[in-house]
Amino acid sequence: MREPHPGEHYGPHRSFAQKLQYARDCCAQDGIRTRVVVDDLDGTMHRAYGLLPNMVYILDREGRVVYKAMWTDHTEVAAVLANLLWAEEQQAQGIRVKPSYVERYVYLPATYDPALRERVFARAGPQARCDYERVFGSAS
Amino acid sequence: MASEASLPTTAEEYNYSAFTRSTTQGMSTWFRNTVRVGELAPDFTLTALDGTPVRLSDLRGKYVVLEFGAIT
Repeated sequence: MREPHPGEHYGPHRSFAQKLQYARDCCAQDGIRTRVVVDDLDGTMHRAYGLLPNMVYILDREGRVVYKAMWTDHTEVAAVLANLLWAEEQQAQGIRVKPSYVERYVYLPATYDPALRERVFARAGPQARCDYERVFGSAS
Repeated sequence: MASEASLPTTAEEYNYSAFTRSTTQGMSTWFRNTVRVGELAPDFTLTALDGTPVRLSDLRGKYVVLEFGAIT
């Protein structure tokens, strides 16, 4: 997706090659080992999935959305995946289970993981912090 | 999806150069109106870090987690 907090070190994407390099840098710096794919410069896929900055979706084996949330809670994602596998096991044993459909829209503290935010600002450059504080204030 | 008026129309608008208050507006509406639980996820073909194409529909038969992110 686009850079939500562009700065002097990592500015807005201006070419696909640059966007791809940013993704490679991010994986190297953050030790990301999951499969990473990069959208086009126009954000075609990002737009199709709502244009939001921190979305997470879980799709079932048929490609249907079974979970979507704004902001990723890895503990919750793991729990949902475990529940899906549990349900399959139950069904394989002939035990009937009923699905519960949930879309989560909750408020989280604005201080959510401040250490991560600081690291992102340092990586992006001073402008990222200035812009953020102009919108939310320095204490948030 | 959000109303067309609030959506960026060009790559430059999409890849804004500064985070502003308007960047954050309308998020709850976007969340509600985007692809919903129970719906088929829109298919896409994106580029892996090694340059190879990856098509979502090729992953049918597996559970898939889609997490959106950027370096900033």
